[in-house]
Amino acid sequence: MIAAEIGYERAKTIEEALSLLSQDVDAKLLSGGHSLVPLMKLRLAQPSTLIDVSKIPELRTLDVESERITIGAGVRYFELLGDTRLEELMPVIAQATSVIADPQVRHRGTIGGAAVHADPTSDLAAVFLALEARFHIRSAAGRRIVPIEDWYLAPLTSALERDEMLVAVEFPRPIPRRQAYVKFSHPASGYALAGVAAIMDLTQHGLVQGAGIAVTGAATMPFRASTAEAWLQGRPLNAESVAMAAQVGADDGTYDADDGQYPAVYRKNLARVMLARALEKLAPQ
Amino acid sequence: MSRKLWGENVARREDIRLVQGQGQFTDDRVLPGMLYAAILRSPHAHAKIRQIDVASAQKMPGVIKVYTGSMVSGHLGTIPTAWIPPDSQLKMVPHPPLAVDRVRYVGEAVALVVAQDPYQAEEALYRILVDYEPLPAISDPVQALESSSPRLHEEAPENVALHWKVGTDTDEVFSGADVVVRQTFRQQRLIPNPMEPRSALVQYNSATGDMTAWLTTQNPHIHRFLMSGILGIPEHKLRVIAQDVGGGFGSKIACYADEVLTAFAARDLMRPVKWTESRSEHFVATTHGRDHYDEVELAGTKAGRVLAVRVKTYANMGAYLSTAGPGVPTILFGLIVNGAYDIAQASAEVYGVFTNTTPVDAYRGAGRPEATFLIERIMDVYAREIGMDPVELRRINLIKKEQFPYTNPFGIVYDSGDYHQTLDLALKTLDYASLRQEREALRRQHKYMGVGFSTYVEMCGLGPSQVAGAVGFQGGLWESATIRLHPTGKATVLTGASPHGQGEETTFGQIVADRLGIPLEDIDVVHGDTDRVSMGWGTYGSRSTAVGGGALAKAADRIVEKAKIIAAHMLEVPVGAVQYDAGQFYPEGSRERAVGIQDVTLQAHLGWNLPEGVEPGMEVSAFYDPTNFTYPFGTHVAVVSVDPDTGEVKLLRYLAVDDCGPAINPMIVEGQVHGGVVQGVGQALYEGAVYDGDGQLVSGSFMDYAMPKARFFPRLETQRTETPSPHNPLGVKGVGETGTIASTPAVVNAVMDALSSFGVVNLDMPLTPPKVWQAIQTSMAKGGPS
Ligand SMILES: Cc1cc2nc3c(=O)[nH]c(=O)nc-3n(C[C@H](O)[C@H](O)[C@H](O)COP(=O)(O)OP(=O)(O)OC[C@H]3O[C@@H](n4cnc5c(N)ncnc54)[C@H](O)[C@@H]3O)c2cc1C
Repeated sequence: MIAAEIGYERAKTIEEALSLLSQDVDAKLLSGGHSLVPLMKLRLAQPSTLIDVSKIPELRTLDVESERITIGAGVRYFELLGDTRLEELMPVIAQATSVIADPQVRHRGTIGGAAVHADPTSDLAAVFLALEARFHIRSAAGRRIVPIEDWYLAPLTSALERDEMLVAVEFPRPIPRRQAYVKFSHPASGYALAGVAAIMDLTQHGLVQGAGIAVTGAATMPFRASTAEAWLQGRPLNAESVAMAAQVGADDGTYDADDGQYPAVYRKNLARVMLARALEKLAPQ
Repeated sequence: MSRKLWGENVARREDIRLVQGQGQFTDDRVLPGMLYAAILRSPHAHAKIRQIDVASAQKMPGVIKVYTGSMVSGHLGTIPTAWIPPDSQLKMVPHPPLAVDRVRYVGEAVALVVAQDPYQAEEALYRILVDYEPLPAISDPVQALESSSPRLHEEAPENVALHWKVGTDTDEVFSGADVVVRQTFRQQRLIPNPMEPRSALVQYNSATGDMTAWLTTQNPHIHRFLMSGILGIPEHKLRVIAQDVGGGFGSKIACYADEVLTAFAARDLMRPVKWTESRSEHFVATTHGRDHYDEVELAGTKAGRVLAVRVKTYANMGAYLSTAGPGVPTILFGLIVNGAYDIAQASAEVYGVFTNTTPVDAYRGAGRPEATFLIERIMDVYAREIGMDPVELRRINLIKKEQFPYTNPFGIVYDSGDYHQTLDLALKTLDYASLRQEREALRRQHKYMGVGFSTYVEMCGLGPSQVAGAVGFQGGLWESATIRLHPTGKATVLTGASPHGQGEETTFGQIVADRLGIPLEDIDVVHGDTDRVSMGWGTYGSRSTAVGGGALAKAADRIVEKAKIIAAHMLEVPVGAVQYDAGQFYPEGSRERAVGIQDVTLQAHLGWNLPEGVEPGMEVSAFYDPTNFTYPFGTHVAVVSVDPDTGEVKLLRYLAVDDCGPAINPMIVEGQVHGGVVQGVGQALYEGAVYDGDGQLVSGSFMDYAMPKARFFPRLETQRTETPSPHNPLGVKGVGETGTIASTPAVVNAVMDALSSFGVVNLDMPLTPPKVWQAIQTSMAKGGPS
């Protein structure tokens, strides 16, 4: 379990990282290393050179503006946990982050690494989907922004091109006030067998508005439970509506990931149960 | 005699160096000129090796030498098994350290690379080209017996490694019984995963012919014994050292090919060579545990009296016979399938089967967890069948206090016990009656809680050597102890036990401190070095304190005996008039004249004025062979909840009431119980090695193989009763394995209790959420809970 020999460069700026990346087709960016390094040890990834972006100051910023919240790709999980502005405006990200692995992982892993790695069981994937994240990308050739609908292409594949770099994740505001993340962990890995992020507002009459609901872990790909969102719009949030939304929401996923121990029927059931539990948390007491 | 430290929670002395990072584990050690070995392992479960091309690996930077099976086979013996159960028709199949023309499991060693550094060694593995011709593979022991299944060894044409029967004739009882219950059980394969993976560092002196091997072993002397034969190095020229060992759980008993190969390379290259297993290697290359299919039958009356039990077992041995492998599903299992119950008739029949899987050997409890699981589970099945509370059923059948010593149907003599007392204490601690009420109340709200019991007994403190011989263990099971008092009265205590986490440096210190009246700080307990410590048999089978402690007590008594003669001389009174208490010798009635043992020791070393015929010095050895095993027992209770929506089982409470005789250090006993319980719960709920149809280990990492984690557990509750064993001078019984032995069935019984309204009688372990959920779904489809 030892990685093959590799080169290592530490980039000081985004431009330097992009220039190094454009020169070597087999180079890879290194952020927290908590997905990439395990793959390298298994020799499932064998980059020629690691371009370490973890010391680039521009990637470690966190901006809260009236229209949006922008989190630099290099911001680490534990930094998301301690930020009072996030606590106030998007507590769901702290809830999701707090159940990622353990303190060691949370002190290294980054929001950008999680986004690019595109693990279908990533906790933050549900948050990105529910909050309609937008991914800010740069390459030597220019800049672009990818909306969440276009981000996840396949398990472990995001929309990022080889010579591109994710610089920040943007969450458009306003963000509904009621937010929750719930997770059912795999007893071995601790990754989500089903994780659900749900956000919404309730009108003064208690009717649902602007729900964003997404599920990670359970299906082949993290997915947005659009049918549940639509179904809930304008309805009160009660036991019946929660049960119905959970049912139709679970149907929004495609469950062909049959890993033997956790068959698709079970995963789908888990998506439904966890959808219901997330929504119950949002219901008025 | 005053007992100053006996029974005290003395803090573990070994922890200071461990928490300060100053332990000396094998891999910590660096020798000048040391080389590193890496092992290429078979990716196939079963294949012919057509050819191995090492040319390009040999040319890699830093590579010193690449070895293949054909290069070493003439120079090395095969890996032996050391347990040959009598009347078992054991097939002793050859197990070459490096595969020559065929591989039989994923992880089998195929080539060895030695290089300047570990990175170079690993890199070179990728350059070895092996031309395999894959063969059909089989991983399931029952399927392996089918005539159409692939065969592993010419010597075992049916894949049967052993066939063993024991017990009484039960047919008549079964045909006449009012109630007969039958159940098949699967006791899944487990992967030990001690914190420290295996490692070997070997140095050879070609001038003197001396070899030193630092190994991760639970039994350095057994390793020396076996390795000297395999390598052809005389025993007195081979020194095995196991200083700090980070857990074993049985997986560091066996003599492995990896260790032998490292030693071979060190001798061949005349340079020290180190090999350390990676965690991924550990999953496939270190012995596994359990892996049974069992058919159990119980005959009884409608009133709850058990008349007979009958067990038929298919035990997976893996691809080769590991060192103690054959003894585990036979002797350590079959002889105790009646458990803690007074059952007149019992029998066991065991097939040990070769499959294309990692060899199976002892794993914490070794055979006794498997036996306990069967009897404790079938008792619950029986209770449900006759509509009796499982506690009541146990109360009726438990061996009674006045029946000890109790001879079980296999002729095993249980030493001492008060089984009902532990049960009563458990019921009282839990308030069982209100637990049952709570369970009923929750059910009405569609919430499912269950309570499960395990009133176990186990056979440990291995054991009398005569019995070892009679059951085919190719060694003795006595233990040695040496107490060496230095001129200043400080003590070095050497034990043939080889603790690797159990805390005997502390408990053994306590024993000696009390017996000799020497402060604990003045005593060092030394173990794990065949050059310093006399022949001994090591640590496994919960034997160290019962047997090693027995040897120590004997040695201490001899010290006192000798010191007393010298003290009498110093006091100028006859020996018969000298009293001894806590390190003080004094003439009867005049304590103020006392001389201390440390002063006496100085005199013994100076030798200026010793009594007639007394040798100078103060050092004695004792070899202690117990008269029987010890039989710790107790009652474990698990309280669980089952979430019907997800199938998730939560442990709400866990109570262990154990009796291991008097506790030398209750805190250490409790620690052993905690660890043991967690491992047993691991089997019940989380762990399980899974092989696919091609013999690939699917659960080959912590991503898939679920170890029990702290957050899965409530605070564990422990209680003790103390019934001394008459079989050793300290009265102690083993406690290293009781937790693992007792807890697995307690938890499964609790889950089955929770699921009883769904009509679920049995589910295979581990009781994972999908399995439990599926069972509930099936019941719902038939109309739901009763
Ligand atoms: C023991 C353990 C447990 C874990 N448990 C969980 C869990 O419960 N839930 C969970 O969600 N995750 C879990 N993870 C994964 C963890 O969240 C990872 O840290 C995260 O997925 C990757 O972030 P990173 O910064 O470490 O990325 P890295 O490993 O550095 O990189 C991952 C990938 O992203 C690329 N990359 C990184 N930064 C950029 C960038 N700025 N632009 C372009 N490409 C980039 C890299 O080239 C690489 O391909 C666990 C990991 C470990 C080791």
